[in-house]
Amino acid sequence: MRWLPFLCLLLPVLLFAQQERCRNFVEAINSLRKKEGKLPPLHWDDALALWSPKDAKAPSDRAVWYVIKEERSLSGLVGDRSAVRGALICAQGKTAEAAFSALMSSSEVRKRVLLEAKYRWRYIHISFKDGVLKMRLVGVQAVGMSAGAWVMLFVGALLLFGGVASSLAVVGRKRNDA
Amino acid sequence: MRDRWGSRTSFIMAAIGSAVGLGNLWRFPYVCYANGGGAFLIPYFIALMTAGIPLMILEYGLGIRMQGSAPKSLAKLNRRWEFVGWWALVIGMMISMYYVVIMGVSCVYLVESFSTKLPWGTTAETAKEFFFKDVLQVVEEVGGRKVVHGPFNLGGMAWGVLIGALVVWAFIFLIIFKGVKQVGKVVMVTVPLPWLMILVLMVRGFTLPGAAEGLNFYLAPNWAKLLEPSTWMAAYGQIFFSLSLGFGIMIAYASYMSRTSDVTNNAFITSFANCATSYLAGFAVFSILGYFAVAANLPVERVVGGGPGLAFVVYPAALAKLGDVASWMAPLFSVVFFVALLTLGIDSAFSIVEAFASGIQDKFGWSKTKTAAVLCTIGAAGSVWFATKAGINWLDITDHWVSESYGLVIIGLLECLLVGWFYKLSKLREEINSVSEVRLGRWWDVFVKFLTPAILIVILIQVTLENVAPPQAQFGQSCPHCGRTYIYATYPPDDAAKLFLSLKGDVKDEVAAALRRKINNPNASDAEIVSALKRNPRLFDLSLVRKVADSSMKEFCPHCKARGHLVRLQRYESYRNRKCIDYPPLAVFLGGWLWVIAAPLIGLLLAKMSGRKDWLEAS
Repeated sequence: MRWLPFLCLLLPVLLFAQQERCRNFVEAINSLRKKEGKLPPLHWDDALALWSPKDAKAPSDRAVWYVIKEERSLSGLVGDRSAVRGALICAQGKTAEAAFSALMSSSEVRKRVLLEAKYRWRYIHISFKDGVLKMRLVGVQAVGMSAGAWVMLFVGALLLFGGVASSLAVVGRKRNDA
Repeated sequence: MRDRWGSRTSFIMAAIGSAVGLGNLWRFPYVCYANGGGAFLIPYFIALMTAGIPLMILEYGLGIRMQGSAPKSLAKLNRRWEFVGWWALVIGMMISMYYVVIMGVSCVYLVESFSTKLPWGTTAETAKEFFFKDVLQVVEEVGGRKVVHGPFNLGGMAWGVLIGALVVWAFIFLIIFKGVKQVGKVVMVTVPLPWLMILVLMVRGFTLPGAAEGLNFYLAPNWAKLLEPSTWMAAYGQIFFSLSLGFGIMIAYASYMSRTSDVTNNAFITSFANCATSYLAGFAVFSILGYFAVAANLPVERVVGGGPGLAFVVYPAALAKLGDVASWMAPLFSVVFFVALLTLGIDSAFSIVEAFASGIQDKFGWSKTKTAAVLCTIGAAGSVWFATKAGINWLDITDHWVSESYGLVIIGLLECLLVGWFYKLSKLREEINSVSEVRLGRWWDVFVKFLTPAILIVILIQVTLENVAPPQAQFGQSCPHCGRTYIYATYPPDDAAKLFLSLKGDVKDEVAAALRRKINNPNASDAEIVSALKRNPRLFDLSLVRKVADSSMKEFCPHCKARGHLVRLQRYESYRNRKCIDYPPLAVFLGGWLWVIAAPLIGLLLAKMSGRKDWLEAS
């Protein structure tokens, strides 16, 4: 049982490290965004509204950050990049309207990038130069644990591991009293 | 002279080993997630304190004071109650027959894990195919046609599973035949080992991308769930099923301690250790599922599950996906996981047999070797049935009726009622207090006499209502943006023929092909299928309804889309009578009711048999 306190420490330390990693990533994205001097729309809903062929104007020759909520991981470790590759193939070198139109009309891309794009936020750097669209993949916002989850993590550990520890602490008490 | 544990530690470790089983890994995390996440820990803890620990103290108290197995302890209270003890042991033996088969499946996976490329692949689909087709062989290709073995189409043996199960039975025999001192030595390895394995998986999980997302699903509290009675019932059910109560195991294990041994604190240690293991296992499960969700492009709620589906489909696929990080990781962590499963299961399995052996030895005076050999042979023979190609059907039915519905709950209820109402509980409490490190107050009497029986009666009523209600399921989505819910399909379909005619495209082809297989007419026209559906709407089974629902799911909320918003839609499913949903009534009778009825009858028979002379006096 000597390793129990070590275990109790190890668990939150590892989780803090994970949380820190998520936070660092988001900060890196934000600093990049600041560097570009733009505050991009935060939701694909807005991006979609902005990009709607009917009423939205194509962005002028400037870099815009879009946040696309989607399910594919872009971490170097996991997942494939086929969705974004598909998007790039469809959009690269086209004008904004044509790119949007291509994105929406390609059933494959529609399915993989837009319609399945609902689970995670993906940051795509989109820029226009001479009316030509360029997209660059930046990464996925990793989601950290919520404050409520953290609180319950400690509550659970306190109740259950605390129960084990306090029961072990009174072992032999009867004999001592005697 | 009664057999004795080598030390108090051996007893506690053996009791923890018995309580901690497969359910801690594959049931608790899912139940927690499905019932309010972190908020579930509150009712879970209350259930532990008000029902789990009081019942554990009761079983330990009976075993230590009466110095006998469950039948002997209850017979000492009143000769007429002996059969309840046997009933508990028979239920345990029935459960061990399929429990060992599940461990046999784990053996197959463990052997397959020693390969650089894991055969079940990296997706839930390939893992599911491997599980059903290659391991259980419940699905087979015969003459180019896919054949699914129903309960009455046994189709021969799933040899890998059978060999695995027989190996496990051999281990059980080797562990218990020398007596509890040997058991005490074995549990010193088999109890800490799964903790270590879970810790390894947890550390690996925590350092993977997506882990935090998975853990959010596990622990983010949904306080509204605390107002739902079903959450509290789930908490009490989880506590009751996970502590090995109602099997007579804890009575037998405690009876190997001397009369002056502690009762209360041992019960606290065992119960808390069991629950802490479940809690810890949740981290190992959800951190890796979070990673899998990220890596496999799926939302976490799509990969989360419980039971064998988690242990043999989703989790192995998630572990195989670790190969994306480094090729050696997938087999290594698969070995770690299946060793954890096997070591979690083996203590629970041999404790059931040990409890029965204790009863036989007490009453009939057989030697330990003879008792262990006979029981393991009977158990192995029973496992053969569950290791057939149709075995998974029988396992599903028997588990639902014997374990989840009417076996353990009735025994637990009878224990509380018999000891609480027909025996001087205050006297037993005083006796327990005279030897224990923690003093029991009157609260214990209240819990044993009133609260725990009331909860068990409610659970019994609830499962009965679920079992007699017609099976129903709804599939749909709810939109978190506007709060609306959209139901796309129900089971059974209101009008199966109409539903079939409304289908279009690929899904229609798939459903039509499945229905043609079901009516054994590969060239049936749509009109013939419709006519068959009108005659038997159940042909449109749950899996087909789910397929239809999946194809109908909308990516845009029909309401919010009008406002030009893309919204996140969450999958929504609700079931009633999820188990046994598609089994014929005869199979439910043979695999369920018959076993439920047979258990007390066998118990009565054993109680009526004459034992050795003065067997109640001997200790």
